[in-house]
Order: sequence, then structure tokens, then C-alpha cells
Amino acid sequence: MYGNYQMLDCFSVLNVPTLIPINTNCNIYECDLNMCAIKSASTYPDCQMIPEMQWKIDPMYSSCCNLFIKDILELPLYTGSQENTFMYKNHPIRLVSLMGIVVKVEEKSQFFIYGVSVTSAQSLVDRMERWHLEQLTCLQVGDLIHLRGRLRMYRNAMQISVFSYGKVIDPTHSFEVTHMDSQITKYQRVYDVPFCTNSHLDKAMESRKRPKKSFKEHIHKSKNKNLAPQIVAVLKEAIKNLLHKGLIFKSKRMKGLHYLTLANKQLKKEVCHILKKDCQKKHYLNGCHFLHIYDTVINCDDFQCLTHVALKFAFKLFRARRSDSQFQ
Amino acid sequence: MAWGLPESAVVCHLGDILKTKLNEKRVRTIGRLVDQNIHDQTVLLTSPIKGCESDQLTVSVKLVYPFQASIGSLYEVIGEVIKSTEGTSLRAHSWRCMDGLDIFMFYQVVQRRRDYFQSRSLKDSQADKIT
Repeated sequence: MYGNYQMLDCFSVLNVPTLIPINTNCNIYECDLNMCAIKSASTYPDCQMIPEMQWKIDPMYSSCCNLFIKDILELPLYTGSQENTFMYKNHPIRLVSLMGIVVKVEEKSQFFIYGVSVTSAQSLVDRMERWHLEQLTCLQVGDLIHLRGRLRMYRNAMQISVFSYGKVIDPTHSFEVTHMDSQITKYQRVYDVPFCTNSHLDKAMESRKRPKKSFKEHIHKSKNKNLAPQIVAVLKEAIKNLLHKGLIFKSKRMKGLHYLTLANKQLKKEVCHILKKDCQKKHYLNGCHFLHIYDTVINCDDFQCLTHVALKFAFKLFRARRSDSQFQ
Repeated sequence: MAWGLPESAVVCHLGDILKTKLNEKRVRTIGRLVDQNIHDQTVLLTSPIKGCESDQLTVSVKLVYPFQASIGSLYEVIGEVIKSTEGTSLRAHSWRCMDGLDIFMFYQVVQRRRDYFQSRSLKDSQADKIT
């Protein structure tokens, strides 16, 4: 029949018999990318490039990006990289995931070629029809497939090495529609927003440094104004008071370091440990004496400068917390 | 290897193919099957949108024969627009049953996509002007 011949011209094979691929690698080909690459690189001049060290911070680097075919074809190589990492805005991209309809099936001696068109919508998107999938098996024209793969440059053409693909069985087509919808949302919220690691990191670093700096500067400044002795005196007084009340205690390891009795989890752990261990002994069956615990605690770790008062305060606190929890 | 592929198809409403002067040769559209003529190997599709049922498009199904066809079902056609003196018709290259599709949602998403691409092309053109 004439019609059928024409059809075979356009789609070489329509009904593909089940066939096991000889190689498991599936390749998608497209050509003529250079022009596009130059154009899109100049389109986003304000995006700062991320240095290679920081690529992994961008989530798009390690995830399968759901880009439009047109965008994938126009992806330029990431400036400064020799490997197969591409750039969308300033996001580094390695992996892509696509969903589309098979529009062309071609039989070769060793494998099948499939042209795939992305589901519905814009003219841009439908350029997936120009893509070829090799060695997919038992797919027919009109089937919906989903694939994930690694981007690669092959003879100046973009190629996707597919590591997973499959036919999507979707009787209500809801998956297809939601996929289309979510793709735009992803574009608007993630892909189109330039990633700014540098400024992020710098800001974070600055904010970390700032309090220390400002405190030191403050002290220095006040020194100049002869206010330093006053401030130091007030601080010393306050620390003395706190030490006296047992709210803080000194550290032996570092000079000038003080621990908060309230927040020191290590102290509580240590006390609990001693109680558990010693109450099993015959001598302490009815419980340990405070001084015994104090002696033991002082011998361990960094509690050499722990005072009686501080430990008593800690005990009070434990008791109060325990009773609270009992009431609750 | 990447040569000899069919052109990319543009998604459009069934009514648009009939009314407007489309430049695209290949289109993708959704329609409801109302009639089929086995002798001519053509089918008649109408628009699935309410109020646009009068839009009817003849589709030649020679290339996708044998195909699944039940009257009243929804089908998606990717095909070539043929303009002749008798009117516009479509030569189907791919034929897919779309029963169960939420048409309202589908067209909403398509519209969203169109808006997105429009905004993007606007931005690009503005950037070109500035540079």
C-alpha cells in the first residue's frame, strides 16, 4: 500500500518486535551546538561562575535536572572545566531526566533508533523529536518513555548516555500532566534562580568572624578611652559572683575558659556514671555520699577546678528537673 | 545518525488549526473521535473543549493503520497539516489514545508553559537590547 510505504519512509519500523539490546549503553544524539553555546553564554553575563571546588554545594550538580530539550541542546560547557559538566545560568549540570513520546523508530542492523518528543506543550520542547535513542527495546510510536542519563559531548554534539529508561504506563495521563506542571515550577523556583555560593559563603564566614572581632575591637577602643580598666573590673566582678554562686566553674585545660554548670552535659553524664557504677558496690548500697561523688568527679576529665558549690548547684538542678518530669 | 528526523510538532488547540494561518507544518493536537470512514481512511475529530464542538478536523490515518479507534474517545494526534482547496486536514504520524486525561488541567498546564516561554523570550529580548 502506498500509504504504508510512505510511513516506512518516515518511521522505518512501526511495530518493533521484542529485542534484547546488544549493548546496554543508550545514546541520544544531536548536532550543531556550537552556535547556541556561544549565544547562551553571553545571555547571562551577570551570573557569577562557581569555582570547581564549590560545585557540589549546588544541588543541581548531583541531581537529575528536568530541563527542556531546547535548553539541553544549548547548554555550553562549564567555563574552566574539561570534563562533561555543563552550565545552565550558573548551575553546573551533569545529569538530566526526560519524559517524552516516541515519534520515530528506525531499525538498524544491531540496534533500533528512536526519536522522542517531549510531552505536549511548546515548540521549544518538541525539539526532542530530533533526539535519537539507540537500543531501546520493544517501544512503539506513541509510547511515553522516561529516561535519565549523563550528559556528554561527542564529536561536537550533545549526547546523553542513558543509565535508566522505561515505558511509563499512565492510563489517566495524570503523571504526564503533573510532570509538565512541575517542570515549569522547577524552572521558576530553582533553575532560573542563579546560584550564588560565593556571596553566601562569604557572608556566613563574615558573620562568624564578626562577634569576636567586634568584641576585641570594642575592648581596644575602650582601652584608648581609658574605659578598659572599668570594663575589665566589672567583668571580673561578675565572674567572681557567678563562681561564688556556682553557676560557672573554671576549666583547667584552658586558661580563662569557664564552663556553664547548667549547660554542661558532660558533668551530668559523669555524675550519673559514677552513681551507676558505685551504687552496685556493697559499701554504697544505700547511696553515695556527696563528698565521695565530688572526689571522683574532680579526678576525671576537665573538672579539676569544680567547686563544692557548683556541684551542689548542679545537683539541685538535676533534682528540680527530675521532679518536673515526674509531675509531667 | 541524527538526520532524517521529523520536524518538531507544535501543540495547539484543534480550533486553531482550522481558524488561524498556522505556519507550522507539524502540529500536535487533541480531539474527540466522532466519525470514521474506512474507505477513505480518514477520521473526524472534534474539539474536546466545551462550546467548541463545531470545530471539526479531518485526519488521514493511512500512516498509522491499523489503529485503535472507538467513537467518543479522546485521541492525541501528531501530524502534518495539509492545506488544500477543500479545507485543512491533518495527516497523522502518531496516534495515541488519551482517555482519562483531565482536559482542563492539561490546557491549563499548556497555557502556563506558553506564558513561561513568553516571559522568557521577553527577558531575552530585553537583555539583547541592553547589550
